[in-house]
Amino acid sequence: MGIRKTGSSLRSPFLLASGILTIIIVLFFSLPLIALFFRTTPELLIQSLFSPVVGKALVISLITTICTTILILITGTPTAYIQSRVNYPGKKLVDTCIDLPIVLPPAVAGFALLLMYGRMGLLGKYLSVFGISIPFTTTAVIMAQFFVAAPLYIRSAKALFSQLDKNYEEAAQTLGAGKFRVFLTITLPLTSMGLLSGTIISFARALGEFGATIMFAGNLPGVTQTMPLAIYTSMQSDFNAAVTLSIILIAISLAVMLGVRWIAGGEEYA
Amino acid sequence: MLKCTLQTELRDFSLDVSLYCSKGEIVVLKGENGAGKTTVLRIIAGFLNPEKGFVQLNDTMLFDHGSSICLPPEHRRCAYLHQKSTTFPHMTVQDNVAYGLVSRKKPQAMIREQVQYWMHNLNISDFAHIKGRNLSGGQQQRVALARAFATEPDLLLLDEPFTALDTQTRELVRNCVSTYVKTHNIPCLLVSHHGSDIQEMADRYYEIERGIVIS
Repeated sequence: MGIRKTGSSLRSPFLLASGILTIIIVLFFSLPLIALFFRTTPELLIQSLFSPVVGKALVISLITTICTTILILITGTPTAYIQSRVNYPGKKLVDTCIDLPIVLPPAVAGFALLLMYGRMGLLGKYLSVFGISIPFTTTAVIMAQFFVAAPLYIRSAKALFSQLDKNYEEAAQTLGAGKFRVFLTITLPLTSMGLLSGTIISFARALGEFGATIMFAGNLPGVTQTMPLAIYTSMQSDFNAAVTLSIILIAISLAVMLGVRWIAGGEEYA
Repeated sequence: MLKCTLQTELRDFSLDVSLYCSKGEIVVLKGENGAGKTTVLRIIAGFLNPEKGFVQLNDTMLFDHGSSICLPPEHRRCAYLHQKSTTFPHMTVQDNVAYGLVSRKKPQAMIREQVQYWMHNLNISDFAHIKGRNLSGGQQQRVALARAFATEPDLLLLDEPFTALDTQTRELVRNCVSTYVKTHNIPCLLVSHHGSDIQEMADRYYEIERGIVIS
C-alpha cells in the first residue's frame, strides 16, 4: 500500500454528506437528459432526422450561428483588445455596456431589440423609410444571437489580453514591429487557445439562444426557426422531432464542452 | 552617443536623472530595488513618457518634451533585454532571431545570412528549429540576445539580463555583450545590482537612489 493523503477519506461526516449531495446534483443534471433517450429509438431518431422541421431548423441554426460566431470574432477581438490596453474616459461605462447582456434576461434583450429595430422602433422607423425591415428575418436571428453571445467572447478575450505578459509585445516593438504586426504575430498566437475556447463557448450560447430570438425574430420555419424554437413548437405537434432536435443539441453541447476541456488541457501542458 | 534628462513624478518620489553614455561604452545603473533604474530604461526605450526632458541618441531626438517629439519604440532602434527572457515561446529559435529583420523588411538573403551568423555566434544553432517555450532560461536569454544583435541596434538597454543565468552562461552572455558593444561601437546601459557585473563590464556607473543620481 502506498502513502495516502490525509483528509480525503469519506469517513468524515462532512465529506460524506457533501459526497451524497454531489451525487444528488449529478443525478438531477443527468437524469432529464437520459430521459430524452428513453423516448426514442434509433429508427425513430433516424426517421425524424430527415423530417422537414428538423432539417430546416438544423440548417437555419447552423447558418445563423456560424455567421454570428464570425461576426463576434471580427468585431469582438479588436474591441476586447482596446478595452484591455487603452485607458480612456468612460471606459468603465463601455465595459458595463458590453457585460450587460450577460446578466440581462434574453426575453428583455429580444424585446429591447424589437423596440430599437422594429417597424415603429427608435431606429427601425427610419430604416423602414428605405424599405429595410429587420424583425422576423434571418438577420434578426443573427442580431439576437450576437446580442447574447458576443459579451461572453469579448469578456474572455479581454481577460486573456490583460493577462498576457506585456514584455513579449514590448520586445517585439523594440525589434521594429508596429502595433498591428505585434498584434498579429505575438498577441494573437500567444492567446489563440484561450480565444478559441471563448469562441466555442459563444458559439454554443448562440446555438442555444431562445428568448431573444423568439421575441425579435419570431418563429417562422425555414426563416427564423432555429433548433431551440423548433423544439418548443414540435413539443405540441411532432414529439419525435422535438426529441431528435434535443438529442442533436445535447451532442453539440457535449462536443463543445469536450473541445473546451481539450483546448484548456493542451494549453496547460503547452 | 546617448544623452538624456528625464523628469517625472513616480508613485513614491520624483525621478530627476541626467545621464550620458558614449559610443562603445558600457554604463551601469545601480541602486536598490524600486530606485527608478528600470523606469529610466523604459523611458529611453519609449514604453513610458516622462513629464519633462529629452532623450537624444546620436543625432536623433527620440523624445523632447519642449518640441513634442516622441518616437514610438519600433522606430528608436534600441534593443531591450528584460530580466526574464522574452524569447517568443510560439516561434522557433530561427524565427525568433529573424523577427526583427523581417519587421524591418530586410531582404531574404540578408535575413538568412544574419540569422545563421548570430545563431552560430551565440551557440544556439543546434536549437534552430526548436520552439522558444522548450528552451532553458539560459538558452532563451541567448536567443533574445541574438535576436537583438541581428537588428544592429544603435543602443543596447539591458535590464538585469544576467540575473536568472547560471555562472557559465552568465560569463558567455557577458562576453557577447561586451564584444558587441566594443566592435559595433554603440552605447550600452546596463541595470544591475551585482558587484561582479560592474567590475567585469562597466566603464562607468551611476548610482540611483529614489530617482536621483547620487554618484
